[in-house]
Amino acid sequence: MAFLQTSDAHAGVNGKDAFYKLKEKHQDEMRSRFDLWKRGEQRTAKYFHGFDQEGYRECFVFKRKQAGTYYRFYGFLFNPKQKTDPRYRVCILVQCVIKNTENTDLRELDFVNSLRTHPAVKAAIQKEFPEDREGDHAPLHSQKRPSIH
Amino acid sequence: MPHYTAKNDQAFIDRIKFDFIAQLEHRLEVEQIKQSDLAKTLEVSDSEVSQVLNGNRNLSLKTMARYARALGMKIAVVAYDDGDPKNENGPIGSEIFSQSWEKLGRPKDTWSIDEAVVSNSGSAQISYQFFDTWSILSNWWKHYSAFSARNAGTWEQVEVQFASNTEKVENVHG
Repeated sequence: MAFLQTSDAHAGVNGKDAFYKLKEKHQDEMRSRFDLWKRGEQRTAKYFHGFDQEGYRECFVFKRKQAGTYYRFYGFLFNPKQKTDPRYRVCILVQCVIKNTENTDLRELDFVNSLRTHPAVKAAIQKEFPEDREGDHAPLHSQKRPSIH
Repeated sequence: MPHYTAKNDQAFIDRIKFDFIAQLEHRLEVEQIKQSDLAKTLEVSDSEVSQVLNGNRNLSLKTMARYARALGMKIAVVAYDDGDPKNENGPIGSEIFSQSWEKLGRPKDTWSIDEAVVSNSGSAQISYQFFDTWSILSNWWKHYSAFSARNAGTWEQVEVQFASNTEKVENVHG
């Protein structure tokens, strides 16, 4: 998980600022959702989900609701380790939208998509999450089995 | 860098609470139960159920048990040692425990675990592919094996039981 930041304080890239403006308790609530995603658990779409629409399948959202207000942290999934770990995914959160309706406006995802494919953004992610050294993610069956004693 | 739940007890408790609520939400979705129906079963207001599910209430064990039972479920409180005393990695998710239990054929007692491991020679391999799950099951199994050995009164049996936890499952029991 990571937040995208820009050096020119782009108005739309507000995910990190919005996150740290939440009360600590609510930050932790979001972190619990992040953990759930990192554990590979997708039992309910209430906390986070991707999008089925063509052109938006790499987009992702983490959600919370408080007193009738919907907080949506939009971002995208990206694999910066395509050579050494094809299954690896990072979730880059870009934008927080606070609104009174539950539905996603695709224009919000268009903004996320425009950054997802931006060369500078891709380079920044790959710098932060470099390819693994050889052998780091060898298939489990070829690794030494763990000792259980 | 320690996991965020390492900063204080409340953060850890909130995380456990969230995991529990996520299980309730999943059950509501799978069984297509409305929050209002759950409220009726519990004889509480819709608002109270909403507050619980939104994480805005502290949950006592009594409340957790009532909500679980109202949805036809049971709960277990599992204390475990995952070799991470500084909490670098955060708690193991509840779904790891429940999925492990499912993979072992939903054993009702420790004797059934033995039968599950023996009767399903593939289970060792499945566990191995999910290393975290494997580690938990291994520790669980070791404690169980030691318990069995103490009852049997021989350390020889400990070795046999430990061996059954490795790739030798088929050899020992086959």
